[in-house]
Amino acid sequence: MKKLLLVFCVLILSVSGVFAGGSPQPASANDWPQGPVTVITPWAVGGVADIVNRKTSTYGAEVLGQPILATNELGAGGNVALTNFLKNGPNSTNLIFGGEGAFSIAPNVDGSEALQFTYGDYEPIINLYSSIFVMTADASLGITDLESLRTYGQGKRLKVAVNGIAGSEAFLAKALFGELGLELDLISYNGANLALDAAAKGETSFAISHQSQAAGSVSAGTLTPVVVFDETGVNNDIFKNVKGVGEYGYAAYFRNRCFILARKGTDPAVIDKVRNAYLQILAKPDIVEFYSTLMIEVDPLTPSDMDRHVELVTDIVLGNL
Amino acid sequence: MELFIEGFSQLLNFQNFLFMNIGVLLGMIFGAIPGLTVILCIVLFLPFTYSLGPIQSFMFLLGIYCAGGYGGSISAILIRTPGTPHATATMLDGYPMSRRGESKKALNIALQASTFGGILSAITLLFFAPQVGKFAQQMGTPEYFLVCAFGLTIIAGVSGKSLVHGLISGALGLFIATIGLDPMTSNTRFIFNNINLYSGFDLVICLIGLFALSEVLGKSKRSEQLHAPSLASLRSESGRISKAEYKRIARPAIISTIIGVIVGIIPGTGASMASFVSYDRAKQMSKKPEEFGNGSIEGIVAAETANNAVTGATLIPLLTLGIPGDGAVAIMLGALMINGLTPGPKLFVDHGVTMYAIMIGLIFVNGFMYLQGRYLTRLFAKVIAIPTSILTPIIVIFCFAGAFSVKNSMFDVSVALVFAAVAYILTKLNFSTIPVLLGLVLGPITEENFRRALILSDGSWGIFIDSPISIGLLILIVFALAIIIRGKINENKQGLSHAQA
Repeated sequence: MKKLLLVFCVLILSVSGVFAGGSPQPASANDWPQGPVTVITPWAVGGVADIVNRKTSTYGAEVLGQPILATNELGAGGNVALTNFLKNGPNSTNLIFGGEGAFSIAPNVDGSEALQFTYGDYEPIINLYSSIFVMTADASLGITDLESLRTYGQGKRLKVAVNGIAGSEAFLAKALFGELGLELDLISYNGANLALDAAAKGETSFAISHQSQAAGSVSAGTLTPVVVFDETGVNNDIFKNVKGVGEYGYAAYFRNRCFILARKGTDPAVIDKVRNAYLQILAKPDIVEFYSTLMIEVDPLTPSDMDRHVELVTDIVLGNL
Repeated sequence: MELFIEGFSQLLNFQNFLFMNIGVLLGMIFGAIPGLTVILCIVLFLPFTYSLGPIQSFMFLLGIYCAGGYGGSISAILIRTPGTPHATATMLDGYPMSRRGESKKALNIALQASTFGGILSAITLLFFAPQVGKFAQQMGTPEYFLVCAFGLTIIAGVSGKSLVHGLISGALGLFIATIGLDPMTSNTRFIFNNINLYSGFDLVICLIGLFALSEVLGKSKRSEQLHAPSLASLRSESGRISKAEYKRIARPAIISTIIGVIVGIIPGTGASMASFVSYDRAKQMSKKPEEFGNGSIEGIVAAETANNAVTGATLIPLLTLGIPGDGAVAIMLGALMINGLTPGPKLFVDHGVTMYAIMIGLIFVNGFMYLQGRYLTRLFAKVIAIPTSILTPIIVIFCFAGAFSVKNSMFDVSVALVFAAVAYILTKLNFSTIPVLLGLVLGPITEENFRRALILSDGSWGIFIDSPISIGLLILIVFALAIIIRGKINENKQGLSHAQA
């Protein structure tokens, strides 16, 4: 019995040891940060946000005087991490990523009743990057712009492959096809790469994805780019001749953005300190090159620009539910 | 041929082999410890690769990926707690072998089978990637669904003594797999306004509860505790495989490699499905099917060959089409992109030398996995000589830490405990827990592909007989069901004749 009790005590102590630890203590603005700064990616390891977080974090000690620890917390498309983040107080050294998915889409689709956060619970610091979506078509269809899309789509229900039925790509497709007066069936795939593959082999006619994801198939000629979801075209070798949705006079576009957020109530001096640190990081030549490789934009935005982005996307979502 | 030679010369670098071996060692350890996973290992060490070149980082990551596949079988064989989901099929025969004092032999068979499957898969990747890639392109949503439906027929083979019990367990797994967001409409299902249930249950957490923690619960009764073989008996066991045994396992090894490669090229399926399908096929084709579940060497070979045969094949859609086949490979996709390599049809054109270096390197990864495995299994085999009173708390700690580490969530620790309780009750009622795992593995991809196929066809069921591959798969399903029904009829007849006797 004594042996059993001993084993039980060792077990309890060990388990409590495993889960010991806690969030760093908040500090005053002047000496912030007193310890390492943790930046949480609430999405998958290996995704664009995760890669960018890990890459930019390597400059933490240089620009903030403390290391930046890039970490991930998964679950519910980022909503679990954003909920758990509310346990942090103002001036915490924990920061988190968020974007239109969490603040414009999630509150307006099924399951929103489970959300315990709003955009107002966070203090936007800087937009770490912007990614411009692109619509591509099965190359055999010969569709290369919105005019040929409109001609092709008259009287048809077009199948568009997207990464998740409640993702940014799905709402962009609905908004654009609505403005074009075309009917569509959204086909949800478990990942943008699968959606692109579906269009490349003719299972669907179109796919919407980030540029970097479509680049390989477009270069190989299995998919043709139709339009980029931005005001104008983009400046890279693969998609340089593709027009932006805004150039056609339509409003169905927004960029995918990745905000760095602090807990609401964080001292403005702390926000500025982090913002300036990241502005320095974003100016580093290797980061600029890295962004170019990933086909994402340095697009820091001001806090009010970020607020407007959330509002704009919310309007598009509400108009296309 | 020039690319091949140039790639080979780029690979022949001390650092490449060093990182490959570090990866193999880490993968084997993480795979072997219940609760720790290959994905966790890759995530933890991913930042380390950011300062490496594409060949070095890929050698390191592939080392983890391949050796993790084998590592999972170590704990499955020794302590009946699979370190990875796909090692569950290995456990079915590995653990009974271990209990009868053949731990070293079981580990040896698993290692050799893993190496065989891994090397053949790597060779397929190296020499037939374009052809296999083209075949993969012939398969779409309806074909993926039919492969999954075929996978569900395996439930009959792992149901234990009662097919009805197996079907009920499988249905329970399928039901649990529906919790979370609807894959086609994003409507919520059974989440009860709990944000933690939004994405359903992570497979690793279910595995920890269903097998590792439930095993601990099962052994908690003193009468049911494992009577571990002594260290002396372990030392006396040679672990050698005889010529006759090699002859016996040759056929399942080759068939399982083919199954592993085919399953590997289908996105979202993964090693668990490959190992169960192979296990089931090996049982159907064996001259001694009654040995399956009681320590059949064919069973271990089928499961282990198949799950490592997936490794090279999974890279085919990744490198040729940019489609990651499973979670671990999805992380590798990020590692490629960080090095400026965009996966897709032009990858071989733009970075042919690097690609050949990586593909040739995969063969070496498997070779080093064998060498390290041979040495390490001698150490691992000693685990079963550790007294249960010490080993059990250690397993529980790793299980809790592993469940917590998936999403840094205490909720998941509770989920693992609930699954453990469910598994314990099921076992007490003579229900096998393996069909539950199969339901969890196959449920989401079966549903998703079935519903997507019907949306693509505007509701027409004809989409499932539209291609020769679909028709072939349908014939396979009918054939598998016929075997199950015939087997059941024969069992009933035998039962009747025994009763009359």
